[in-house]
Amino acid sequence: MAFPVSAALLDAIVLAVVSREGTYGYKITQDVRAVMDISESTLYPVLRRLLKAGLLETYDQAVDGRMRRYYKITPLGRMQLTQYLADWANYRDSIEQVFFGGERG
Amino acid sequence: MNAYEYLNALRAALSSLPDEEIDSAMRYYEDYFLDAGEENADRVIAELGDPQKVAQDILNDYGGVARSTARTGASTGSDGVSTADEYARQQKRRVKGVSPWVLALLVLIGLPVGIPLLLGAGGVLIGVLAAIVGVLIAAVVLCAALPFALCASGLVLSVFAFLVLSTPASAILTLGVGLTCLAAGILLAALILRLCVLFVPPLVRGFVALLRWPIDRLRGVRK
Repeated sequence: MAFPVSAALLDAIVLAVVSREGTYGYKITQDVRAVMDISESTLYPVLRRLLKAGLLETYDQAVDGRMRRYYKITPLGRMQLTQYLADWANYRDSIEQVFFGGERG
Repeated sequence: MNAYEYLNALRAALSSLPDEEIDSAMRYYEDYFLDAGEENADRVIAELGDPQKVAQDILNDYGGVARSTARTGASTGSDGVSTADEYARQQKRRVKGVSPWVLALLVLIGLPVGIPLLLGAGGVLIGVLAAIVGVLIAAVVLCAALPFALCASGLVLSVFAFLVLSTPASAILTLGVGLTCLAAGILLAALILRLCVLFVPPLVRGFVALLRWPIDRLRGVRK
């Protein structure tokens, strides 16, 4: 794609993916890669950053006889996500205003 | 290189980090290999790339100097741009946006003052509106009632004049006053009707325009 993905946008996408349900690293990567082309090694630094910022937290759950690490969103993360969604709507409207002008009602 | 060797190489490359950072990263990548499945291990190793570089991304991020822009894997594969300049920009952006916690705190503090103030303002607004409506109703009633009262009293006096014909002077005076009242009432009614025709339509139009103004503005922004 012609448009690079910014760190903030990637943070927002990961927050949105994790906000749906507690989920784990491999699945988060698959979910994000379903919508954009990122390398597999991109996700851990993002998760680490969100964990450090208190937007996500981890818990371990037994799966197939081992403990798998899960990630879930915190209340603070939800607030941040809400802010991202509002910022995105504004951003999209501004860009579309330039792209498509007055064509939209 | 198999998954085991890859993870060992990664752990070695991360060794300068505190233990809990190493554990967190290793948990992530161990889970990753297990969840991808043994049959995909070679593909995952190929896609993750050199463990040294994967480690370097984490080390950069840990240093705090770098919030690297995400690499779009296929496009270039080059290092994420992680300069002090980028970091400074990120920090600036953070200062500008108010943190959600601060916002929530402000709202909480503001509520006890804000709600009564809002209620008070609402009460004042309703009071002023009621007063305006009252004055308008009074004016309308006056406009309708005054000519009507004049006409009615004029008629009554005129009729009454014929009942006191026995004293001609009183009868003529009463008739005169009655007819004057009647004429004044009719003239006033005509004047008010004329004024209504002149002023009511523009007033109504103005009122409608006032109500439509916010809606038009909203539409204007959309366009």
